[in-house]
Amino acid sequence: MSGPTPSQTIGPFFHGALTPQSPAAAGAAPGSILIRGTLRDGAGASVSDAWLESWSVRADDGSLDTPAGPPSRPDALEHEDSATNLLCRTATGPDGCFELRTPMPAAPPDLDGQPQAPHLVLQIFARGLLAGLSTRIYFDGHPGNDKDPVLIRVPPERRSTLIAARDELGFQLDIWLQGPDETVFFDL
Amino acid sequence: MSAVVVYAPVPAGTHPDNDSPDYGSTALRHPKQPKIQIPPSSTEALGPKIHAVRFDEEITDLTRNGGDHAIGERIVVHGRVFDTEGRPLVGAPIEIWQANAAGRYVHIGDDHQAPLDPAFRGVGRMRTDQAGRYRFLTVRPGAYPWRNHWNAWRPAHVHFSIFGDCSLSRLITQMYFPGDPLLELDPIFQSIPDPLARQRLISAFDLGATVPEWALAYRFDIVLRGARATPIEPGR
Ligand SMILES: [Fe+2]
Repeated sequence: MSGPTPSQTIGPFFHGALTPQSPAAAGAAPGSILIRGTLRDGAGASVSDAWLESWSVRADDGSLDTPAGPPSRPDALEHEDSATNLLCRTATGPDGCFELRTPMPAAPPDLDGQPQAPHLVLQIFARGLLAGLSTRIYFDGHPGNDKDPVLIRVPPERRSTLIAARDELGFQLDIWLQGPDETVFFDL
Repeated sequence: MSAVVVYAPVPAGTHPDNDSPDYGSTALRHPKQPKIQIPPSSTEALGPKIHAVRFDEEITDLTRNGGDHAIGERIVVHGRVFDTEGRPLVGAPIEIWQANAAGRYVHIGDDHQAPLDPAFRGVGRMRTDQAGRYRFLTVRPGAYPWRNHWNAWRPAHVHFSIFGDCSLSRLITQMYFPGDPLLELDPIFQSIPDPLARQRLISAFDLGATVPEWALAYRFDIVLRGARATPIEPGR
């Protein structure tokens, strides 16, 4: 078997091709939250040609039991409930702003069984990014944040780049690709 | 039936470094802090699953998007999607987009002085079949200029977006054509450090998949990072 296919930039012309998606719009759950922010580059300029994808599992599904068998068997399609598998796909606007509307995510234990604080996984693709970036969004004030196995790996002074603040409409978090407030990105 | 899911690391040199100065737009967009290592057993390995991706209708014939016949050399672009364990991905969502035969995108941001074709939108989407296969009918895209450096031209390419089993297998890439002299000169293609990995983005002319008196064919197989399920021994 040959090795994995290399990544290339999404470029600036993806807008008509990729289908935006929101689990809130799909009626996956009532009580959705709104996370708003602006994506910025190293000079503070807004990034207006990015594509964001967030993923989480639904908060009221405490029994996240990950099938460990070979993935993508045909029968796996029927057995998994898409209402618990919450995918948001959206482009940043001309002003670099984004909005993610999703049910409040769960706090799934990781595969090692360690408890985690509620969070979204966020992947970022943009012109000028040759490979996508992976980060997380946590929620300010959640008592589990202090013990989260991923957050505690992040130097304390950088943790705030991963924690959305409450605002009048829900939550707010700017994402910096570069610069003094550079967001923490993960490698897995 | 406990098991651990292991995602083998991607071999060094496969993916480009986001800090690639020859591609000017990376200058202010690549993170400078080192990435923080987290275990591949994290949430990132749990999803999104392919069925989480929704799109309305499949579009597999890009040559009739506008109703009329698109202008250009008709081609079949097809292949199979596997994971690194050699398993075909069934039902994997693929989205593609490309310039028309003259090198122009249907996009408000494309100001290249080349004609638009009212019969060509340049957008396709489908899910792989039970054997992991996909197939689009389109026209060969034209090369187009960009402003990265003086007299810069992108080699002809088709953009691909593919979902696998989870965020670790998510891939956005570009497919190229064999024998294109612009590949040597393209900082985006050349940003892939390993020359063998680079070659995997070049499709193969596929005589067997051509449609006689209708379309030539190119084959582009895609390999996504896949999980190896390792049962945990009892008593551990
Ligand atoms: Fe392009």
